[in-house]
Parts: sequence; C-alpha cells; structure tokens
Amino acid sequence: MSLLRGTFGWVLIVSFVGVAQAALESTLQPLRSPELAVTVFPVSVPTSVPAGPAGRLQLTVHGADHPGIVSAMTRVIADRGGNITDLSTRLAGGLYVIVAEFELPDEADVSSLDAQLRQVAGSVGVTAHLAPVDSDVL
Amino acid sequence: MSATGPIRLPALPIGRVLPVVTAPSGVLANPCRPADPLDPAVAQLAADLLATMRQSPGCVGLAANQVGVDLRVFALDVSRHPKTRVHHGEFVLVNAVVEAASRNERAREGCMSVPDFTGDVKRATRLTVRGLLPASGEELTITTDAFEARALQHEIDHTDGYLFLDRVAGAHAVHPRQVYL
Repeated sequence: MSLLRGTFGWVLIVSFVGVAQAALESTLQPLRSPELAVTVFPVSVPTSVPAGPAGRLQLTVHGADHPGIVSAMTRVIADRGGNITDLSTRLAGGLYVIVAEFELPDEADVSSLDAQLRQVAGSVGVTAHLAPVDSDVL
Repeated sequence: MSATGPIRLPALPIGRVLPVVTAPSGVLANPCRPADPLDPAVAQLAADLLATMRQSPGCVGLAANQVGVDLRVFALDVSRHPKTRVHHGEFVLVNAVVEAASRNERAREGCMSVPDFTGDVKRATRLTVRGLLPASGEELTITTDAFEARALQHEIDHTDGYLFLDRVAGAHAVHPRQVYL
C-alpha cells in the first residue's frame, strides 16, 4: 500500500474457492464512490523465474519530494531487465523514501547498475543505495 | 589501547548546543573527511556534539555531519538506555572504523536527522571498533555488544554518508514515527 500526497492506494491479491469474479465485484460495488476507486481483475499465477546470480537486490532512495523520482529510478532497473518484486514509498516532513526489491537477469552487471543508479539519483536530486537483500539467516 | 569500562575523555572546551540538520541534506549523504584529533577545532566540535546530545531528549548518539560538519567525529552515550548491556559511558570518537562484527539482529532505529521515520535495520550485536580520542589523539579499541554496538554502527554509518534508511531490511521496513502525546 502507498500514501502519496494524501492519496491512498493498495493492491490486494486474494484467492477464493467457488466465488466468481462477478460476485466479488457485486460485493465491493457499494464501496465505489467519486473518492474511492475499486477495481477487480483476475491475476494469473506467474511462472517462477529464479533470480540470477545477482540474487535479489534492494534499492533505497531518499530525498526531497518532487515528481519524477519513482519513474527515473525504476526506468534504470527496467532498462537492465530487472523485475521489481516489491516497492514501498513514504513521504513525511518533505522527505520522500522509496524502498524497492528487485531481481536481475543472469547477465546483469550489478556494479555498473549501481553506478548508474547513483548517477541518475544525483540528477534528480536524491540519494540511492543498492544492496543485496539479506537472506534473514542470522 | 582497549577500552574496558567507561572511557575517560581528555579535557574539552565548553560545548555549545548546535542545531541538528535533517534529511534531505547533502552533508548527511556524503562520506565525511578524516579529522585531526589534535586540531583545537575538533576538540571544540567534540564538546559541541556532547552538549547537543545531552540537550536532546532520547538522543544516544550524534555525528558531526548531523550538525553540518563533514568530519568523521561522533559522540555516543547509551549508558541510560534500557536495551544497553555493555557500555563505555559517554565518549567521542574520531575517525572510527569497524574492525569486527558478528551476530546480526534486526531492531527498530530512529535518528534525529530523520524525525518522521523509524526503520527495521539488521546490525551486528557483537562489535569491535577502533578510533581516536579528541584532544589527545589516543587510539582506542572498543569491544561491545547489543545496543551500544548498534549505536556505534549507526554513527559510523553517518560518517560514511549513510542514514539508517539506507540499511533498512526490506520494502516494508520504514515506518512513520509514532508520537505519543
């Protein structure tokens, strides 16, 4: 879920047994209003794609909030064939924070990606830090 | 010299309470320069960091770049924190580096320079740090654990231009800071 400039949004993936999409739509219909948009659509189970040798990576970005930060940083990842698997944003007191987890294809050059992310971050006036995602083995 | 028990600081000037820089700020985002511990300005900086830290409720550590000075200096005092086990009292270190780290644990952190957020950060709970004392330049090695270990890593990160935000454990590890009235 995310809260940006007073607008709240979230994505929920659910599975039901014996409930059609139309029935779920009908149940949620009373929630819809000019202030609240609700959309229901089927999600296919993705084929599991193992992460490349780079494993899972985490990008943290923070700086003064302004339009274009998310698009600039995620474009770098997308251009390298990266797949963003989780992303959250926070804004408070003028400080904007993005934390994105993503996977890269086998042939990806992580060090050059790191350099490019820092360069692009600087060009949009924010700070970026790339690190491997910990395995939680303590 | 290895520090055992509270560190005895050399005599320092009278410290001044300085304003704390908050993110976003370039001085917080870039590695700081090595400092000369024998420079009188560094001794004054050490005193100012201590005075500012003591004056700030809940503050257990303060790095020089948090008061706008890009030098590798920080003050620390976790002696009164409930999560502290081993501690070395109130001290200032110059040009500190981590020599050994192990036993990672995840815990919630905050920072005066990031007043609106806290974050879950994985850090070592057994730590050895080497640094210099201001004014005397004496080299000190500190071995510690638990909360003091976490605080030292947090402050050394500041001197390297990192905030705890750069170390959070996952996309949902940043939280709005709760203010209890």
